[in-house]
Amino acid sequence: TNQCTVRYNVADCSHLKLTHIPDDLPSNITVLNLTHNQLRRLPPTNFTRYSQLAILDAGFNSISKLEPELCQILPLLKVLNLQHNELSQISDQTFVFCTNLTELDLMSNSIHKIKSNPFKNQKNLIKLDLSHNGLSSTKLGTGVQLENLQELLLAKNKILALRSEELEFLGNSSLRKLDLSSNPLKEFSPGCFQTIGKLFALLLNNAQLNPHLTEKLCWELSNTSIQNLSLANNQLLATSESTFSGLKWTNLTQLDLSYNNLHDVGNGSFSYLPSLRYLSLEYNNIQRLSPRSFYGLSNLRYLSLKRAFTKQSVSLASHPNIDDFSFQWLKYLEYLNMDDNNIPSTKSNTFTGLVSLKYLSLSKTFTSLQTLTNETFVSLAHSPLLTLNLTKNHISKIANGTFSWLGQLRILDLGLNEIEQKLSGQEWRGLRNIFEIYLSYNKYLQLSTSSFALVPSLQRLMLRRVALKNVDISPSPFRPLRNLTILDLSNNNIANINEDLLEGLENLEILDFQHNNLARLWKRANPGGPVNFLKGLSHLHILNLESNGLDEIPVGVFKNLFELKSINLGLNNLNKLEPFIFDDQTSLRSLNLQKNLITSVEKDVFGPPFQNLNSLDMRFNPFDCTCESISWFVNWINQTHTNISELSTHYLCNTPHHYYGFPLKLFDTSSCKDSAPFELLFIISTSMLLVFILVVLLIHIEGWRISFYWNVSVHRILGFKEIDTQAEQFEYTAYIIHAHKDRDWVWEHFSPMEEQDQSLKFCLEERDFEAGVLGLEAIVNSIKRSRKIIFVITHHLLKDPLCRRFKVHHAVQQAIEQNLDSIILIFLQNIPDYKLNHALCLRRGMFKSHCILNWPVQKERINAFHHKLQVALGSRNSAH
Amino acid sequence: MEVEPPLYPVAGAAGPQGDEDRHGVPDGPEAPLDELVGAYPNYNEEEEERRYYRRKRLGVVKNVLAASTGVTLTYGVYLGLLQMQLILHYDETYREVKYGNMGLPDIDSKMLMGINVTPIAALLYTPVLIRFFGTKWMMFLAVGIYALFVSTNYWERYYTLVPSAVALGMAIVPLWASMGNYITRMSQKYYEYSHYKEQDEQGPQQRPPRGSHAPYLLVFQAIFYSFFHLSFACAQLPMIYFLNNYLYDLNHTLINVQSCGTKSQGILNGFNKTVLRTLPRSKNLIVVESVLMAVAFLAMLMVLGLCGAAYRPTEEIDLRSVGWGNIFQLPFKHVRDFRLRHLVPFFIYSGFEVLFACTGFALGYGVCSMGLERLAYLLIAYSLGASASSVLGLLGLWLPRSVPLVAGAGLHLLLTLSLFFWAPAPRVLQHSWIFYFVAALWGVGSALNKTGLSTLLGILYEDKERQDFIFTIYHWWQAVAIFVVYLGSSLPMKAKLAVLLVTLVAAAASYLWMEQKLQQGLVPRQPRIPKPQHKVRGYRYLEEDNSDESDMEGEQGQGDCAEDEAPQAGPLGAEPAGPCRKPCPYEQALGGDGPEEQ
Repeated sequence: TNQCTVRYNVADCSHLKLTHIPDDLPSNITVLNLTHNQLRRLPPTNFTRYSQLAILDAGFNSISKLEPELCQILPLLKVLNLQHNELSQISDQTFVFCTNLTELDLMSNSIHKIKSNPFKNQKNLIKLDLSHNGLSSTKLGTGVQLENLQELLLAKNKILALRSEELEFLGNSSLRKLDLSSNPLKEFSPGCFQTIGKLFALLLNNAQLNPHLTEKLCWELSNTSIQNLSLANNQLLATSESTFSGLKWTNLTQLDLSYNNLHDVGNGSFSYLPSLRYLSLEYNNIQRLSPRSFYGLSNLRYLSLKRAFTKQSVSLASHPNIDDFSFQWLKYLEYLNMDDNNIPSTKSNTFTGLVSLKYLSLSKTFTSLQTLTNETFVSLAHSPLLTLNLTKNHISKIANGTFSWLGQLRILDLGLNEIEQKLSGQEWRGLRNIFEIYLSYNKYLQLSTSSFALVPSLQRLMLRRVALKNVDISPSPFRPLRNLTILDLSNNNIANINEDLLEGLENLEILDFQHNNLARLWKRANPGGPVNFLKGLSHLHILNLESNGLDEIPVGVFKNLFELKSINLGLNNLNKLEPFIFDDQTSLRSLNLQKNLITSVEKDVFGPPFQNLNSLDMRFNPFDCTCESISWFVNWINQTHTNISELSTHYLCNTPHHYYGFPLKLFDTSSCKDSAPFELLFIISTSMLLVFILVVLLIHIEGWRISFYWNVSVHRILGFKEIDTQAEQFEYTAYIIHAHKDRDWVWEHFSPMEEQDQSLKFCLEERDFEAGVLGLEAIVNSIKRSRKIIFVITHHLLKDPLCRRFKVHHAVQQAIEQNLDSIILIFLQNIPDYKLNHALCLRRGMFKSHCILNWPVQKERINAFHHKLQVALGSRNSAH
Repeated sequence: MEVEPPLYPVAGAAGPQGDEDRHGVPDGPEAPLDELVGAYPNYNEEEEERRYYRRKRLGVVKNVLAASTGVTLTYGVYLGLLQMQLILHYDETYREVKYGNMGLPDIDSKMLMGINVTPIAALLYTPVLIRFFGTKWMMFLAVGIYALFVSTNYWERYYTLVPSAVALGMAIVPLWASMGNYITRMSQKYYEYSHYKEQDEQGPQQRPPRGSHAPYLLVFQAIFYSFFHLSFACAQLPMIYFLNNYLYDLNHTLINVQSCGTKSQGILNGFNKTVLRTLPRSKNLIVVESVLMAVAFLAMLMVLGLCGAAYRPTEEIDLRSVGWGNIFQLPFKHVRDFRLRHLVPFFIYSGFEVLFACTGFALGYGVCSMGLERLAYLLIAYSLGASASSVLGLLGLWLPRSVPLVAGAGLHLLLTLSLFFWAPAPRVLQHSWIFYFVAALWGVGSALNKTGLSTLLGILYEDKERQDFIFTIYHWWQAVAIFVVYLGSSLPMKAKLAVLLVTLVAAAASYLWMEQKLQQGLVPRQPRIPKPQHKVRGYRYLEEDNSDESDMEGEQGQGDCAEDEAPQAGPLGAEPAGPCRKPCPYEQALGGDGPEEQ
């Protein structure tokens, strides 16, 4: 099946073991990559679909023949790459239609000879690569052609001679690069480079040129445009005044003579190269530099003498030697590299004359420079040196005033030496503009209070792995460094520091404290309490405390570090972080806590720093996959965009047992309590239940009293009587109808009411009937003169014929006739409704609810009964 | 004029002559009033009365159904929630992930201790509470406390679960005592409303004949326990619809279980500590608990709104006026009654057997053999068997009253002996129907046991003033038995079965011995209920108050005679007045010892 990937009109079909051109790619592709397949041909008919191709890469296949019609079908083709194929014959017709080609790559094929003119029509060709073929001649055609060619690569062929007639086809070309490396050249015919239109760079590396051939080559390059000549890896064992004399009439600017086993630089060898700017003499075998070795290099800017001198050291007499004033001619030299040599030491005039030198690299240069004295760099007194590299020189001591000649020095690199001394501060005398001192990877350094007192301009101080001592003296050795921004104290096994170690370093931005022993300082049990040495570093950006054995972090240690962006606490023993310790680190971008003992990731601790985090590393921690410990972290992971590398493989649960080895990302937080309002529902339901039960019980036990007090308060305000226009017509408040046997109850309860309230007047038969009046008539008259009629209903009343037949009947008739609502029922007993209906023709529904009273069996409720009776007596009589 | 009697009372006349005149007046005008007003020829008083009392009887039936439904829902929610939470909290992963190191097993054990231990003190406060609040309101309050327990399960903490468990333990005996009293009172009221004519003839102060309400008591107890035993099935709904979705199957949970049934020891030794395949989501859990909470609240509303009062207000005042000290002492004084002493083994057994069905058999035999996911169906089989066979209690209408109780005991005896020799293999499902069959049969025995005991107590003690004390003693002994089972949960199964068997045999023998004593005419010594001491005289009628007191004394005497009548009724039968006279001298002799007793 077709597995090509197509993206932005680019089809990549490489490494698919294809044996034919795919025919189902989009037709608008412009780049087709067919490399590393098993194609044997490029049939033009298969490319009819892809007529818009501009770049075709068919390298690393087995193509042995190219059909001319290919370019006819691909008229827009610009780049054709056929490297590493099996082409052996190129005819006139092969590229006849490829008129738009700008790059043609035929490297690593089997082309041995070009007989006709295959490149005649390629007027637009810029780069032609015929490297690694079997060509024995540089003749690529007859007649002038390839006018726009800029790069011609003919390396790794079998060219033996350069002849002018074989280079005539380049008569109108301006070659920027002609690569003839790795060819067994033995002859340069006269005028062979003159026939080329313009030649700027010639590469003749690995061409086995000896001094004689080199001299001949230089003569042939006379009066050409050559600027860059590379003669590396040849056999130029010695140079003399005549070696480069042929270049007198050129403007050469770059010369590469590395890897030549050069052992003798004759006086005046470069006297004909006044325009030279770049000279590389790396990896040679120079025995001696004399004062006139570099005579004539008045414009040199860059000189590399890396491994330039001989390595033999069997005896002292055979050491390489640099005579005084050897560099006096290099007045404009800015960069000098003398790394990896075996020079014994500097002399008083070694570097005299380098008045423009800015960069001097002397790494691994000297063999016996163990002590730096104030005489070591006296020859650099007139050099405006900015950077001095003295690494790997086995320096063991720095005397006072060593650098007093280097007033403009900014970067001093003394790392990877064997310095073993107490820094008194006088070593840096004269470094007024120093920016960085690199002292890492030395043997032993002991600080004093004045170690850096003379370099207040220092901004970077590197003291990694120097077995630093006396860091805990007071005042701090770093106090004078007000401008310090980077301080590296890592890998020093520091275990004792004071709280004021970094006091005053307000500009410090990067602090490296990894691989020390600061755990005790931050323990709660430390004598005097935790040591907060980070206090006052308000501009700190990066803090590295990796591998310090920390198992506690005090609460206020990161306080006020608002600009902290990166914290590295990896490889410690942290298992419990106090809440709110990272509260001031809301601008944190990177947090590293890998390989600690952190089990729970809680919101109190990590909420503030996780807000703006870009990168988090908490791998290899024994996470406790319980809701309380990890659910907040899992929820945060699922919604964050922070980069957490290896989240699914190295963030694993350690506990509980059921979750051991379980990926943290797959932890299900939906079963946790905080994902549902359990506590809220508990409070609501319990409160509702308790309130409901209490209210119901209260109403049941004391409801009558509440109602009673309510009615009393209402009627205290409004009064008992309602306005009734017929009030003056009635003589009695109520006429009481009761059975004869109930007279005691009536007398007992109605007489006291009359005594308490003078306005109440009841009509009782035994007391208020007039003498001499007929009984029935008296009843009728009294009912008429009473405002209300009270029925005291008991079983006896239902059985009393007079009450049942006459009194009740007459009262009801009067009420009906006068349209009054004047009847009040008082039930002393529980009378069924049907009995009431049968005996008195009354129903409870005929009366208002407040006119139906029940005598309470509870003694304490009698007062409420009286009050209700008064309310009923005071109600209006009108039915509306 | 002077020769004829006066037609109306003359004003100013007093004394007996006046009264006579007043008596004459009502008779005089009656004749002309009838002519004047006219009668109601179409009115039928008997029809109206029958309709009135039929509505009353329907109200009583409504009360019984409402009380039964309320208790069923309450216990369904309570048991279901307890079962679900204990299973969830048993899972090791659930505890560690969800609660961390909160000590959930400790909270659970303290909660169970609160539920099982607190009822031991119930005898001290239950009669006082029932008399203070009233039977219906005591039921309402207890159901509310059960709902409170459900709500505290939202937030399992020490300070929520343990106090609510203690409160629930305090509410168990009052709930059941008031429930038993309520059902018995409803049957008595139903009898009153069914025989209202007799009540009218004899007057409200007359006591109904002995054993008159027994048929209604049987019916109501059958209804109640049919409903109540359904609560075990309702309790399985959270298990079926929620928890079974998360459980492992038996091959995982029973992997380390070696022996089941009669060979097992403790409760499911070797049961896997992880029973949940995945942890349930909190939202689903909160939905389940909210549904349970709503059902508990509904039960509370049913008891509040649909259950009528068990006593009339006057009766409640009389019950409350006996004196709180007397109310406190009377449960202890009833120990002298040999009938209660003989029934105590049966009270203990009724606590043993229901808890054995839910824990010993269901876990030791069922879950051990068939897995935890079939626990719900096993308990449903028990519940349906018990509920359906509660109607067998109606056989007491035609059979001697000891037959249902002894039949239930016999069935349990057979089942217990069978369980002695049955050791099913773990993780074997071939004969699972046997488990359901045994569970259903045990349910039948449980139903006969429960309905028989409640009916028996209602028949033996008909005094409305005494019933709450009797039911308090019954359910207190049952709570003590449940506490003993709770203590002995780690015993081997054979020991549990042995204890069950011994208790069952002792209970049946003791009961039959009691029946034999009653047949022989032995008279039980019952403590005398003091007369209500009202502080204020004449709260109804000044003169009739004295007659009420004299009636009360007479009623007490007659009541004692009526109670003594029961054992004599069988052999003598025909003469109701005869045995009333014979024990009177003996009762007077006992009355002579009254001051010493007091």
